[in-house]
Amino acid sequence: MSASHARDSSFLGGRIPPEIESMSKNLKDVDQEMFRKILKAVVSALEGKDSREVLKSIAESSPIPQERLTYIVAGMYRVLSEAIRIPTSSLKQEAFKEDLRELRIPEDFITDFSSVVFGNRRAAIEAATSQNDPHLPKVEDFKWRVDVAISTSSLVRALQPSVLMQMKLSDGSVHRFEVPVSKFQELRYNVALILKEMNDLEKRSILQIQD
Amino acid sequence: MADVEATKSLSGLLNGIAQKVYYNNSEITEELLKNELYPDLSQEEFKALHEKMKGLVKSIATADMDHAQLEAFLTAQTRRQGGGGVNAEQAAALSRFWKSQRVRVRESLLSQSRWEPGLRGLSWRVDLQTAASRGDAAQSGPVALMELELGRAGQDSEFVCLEFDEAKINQVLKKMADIQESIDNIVHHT
Repeated sequence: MSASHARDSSFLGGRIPPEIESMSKNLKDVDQEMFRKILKAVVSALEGKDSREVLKSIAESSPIPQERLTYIVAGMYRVLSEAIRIPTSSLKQEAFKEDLRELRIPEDFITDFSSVVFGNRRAAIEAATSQNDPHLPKVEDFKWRVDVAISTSSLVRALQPSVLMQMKLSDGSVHRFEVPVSKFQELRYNVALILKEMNDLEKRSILQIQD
Repeated sequence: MADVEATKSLSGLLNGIAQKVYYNNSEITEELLKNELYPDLSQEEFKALHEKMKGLVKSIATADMDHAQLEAFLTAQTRRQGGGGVNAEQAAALSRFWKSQRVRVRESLLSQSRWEPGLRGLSWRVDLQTAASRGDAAQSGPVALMELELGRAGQDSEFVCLEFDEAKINQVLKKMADIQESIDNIVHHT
């Protein structure tokens, strides 16, 4: 047993995903220039950009048959997304390279993969992928108005301020509601408390959990 | 002794009227009030008393009388001759009743002219996202999850769940400060 086998398993898990296996077979006679072109398109797709046009022009101009190209693109996408989801503290660059070597991926390509996963593109890819995590709706637009009821059908002199709030959410819904002054104080207090909690959390950085 | 009983019954009647008219308590009926408080009165006598008190409470409530206004109003009522006026005990009972119920009655009347759903409550939680199906998120900041309880008077609440990052919370807090300023301006002017 060599040292590299001391680790439990590949970052790809016990069973190599089929698209990665077929990618490594189909990469055999691809030159590095072409590889980099495809890699660039895949990375921009991971960053959430529309790379359909780029891929189409690669498909039209390249000598590689389209079927093989689809295996390559799918495999690259999988390699990168699997690698990026593991924190760099858990997946070391050498281990990543070793895992790809075992798949018989050419060394030059491994270097290119590695520079995406461990290079300065990583932050952008992580930011883009986190957009796809499950989320609750966010507030997109928040409008307010302060009213004073002067007189109503049941009170001659009401003179009661109240706040009308309207929130447009990222799921498209709109909520309009009235907030009596006492409730408004409660709301404001709680929002301030949330901000304080968030700040404290960042200071403490309780997430320094090492595995 | 008889006076004490009369005062008690009258206080009961006024509170019963408040429950029925202002606090939407449908269990209190005119019949119940008569049977419990004035079993000895004839139907007509009770009805007259009930209507009179209801009218007086309405006048007091609609004008949201403060202490001085109430005293002036009750003094005028005691000087009225005939069946329309009130006696000193009744005036005292009305005064006591209003002292204890003014805030609540006013709140009830205000809510009658409120049509948008109101904010009933909120609860929140601050989370750190640690991981997700598509990627490691250890370096993303804390997330605030907030639940707003909204509802119209007499209806069940509706819950709106929201998510905020720190920047958004900051923005909202800034708006809250603006709103507060705006309220303070009005309150100072009046």
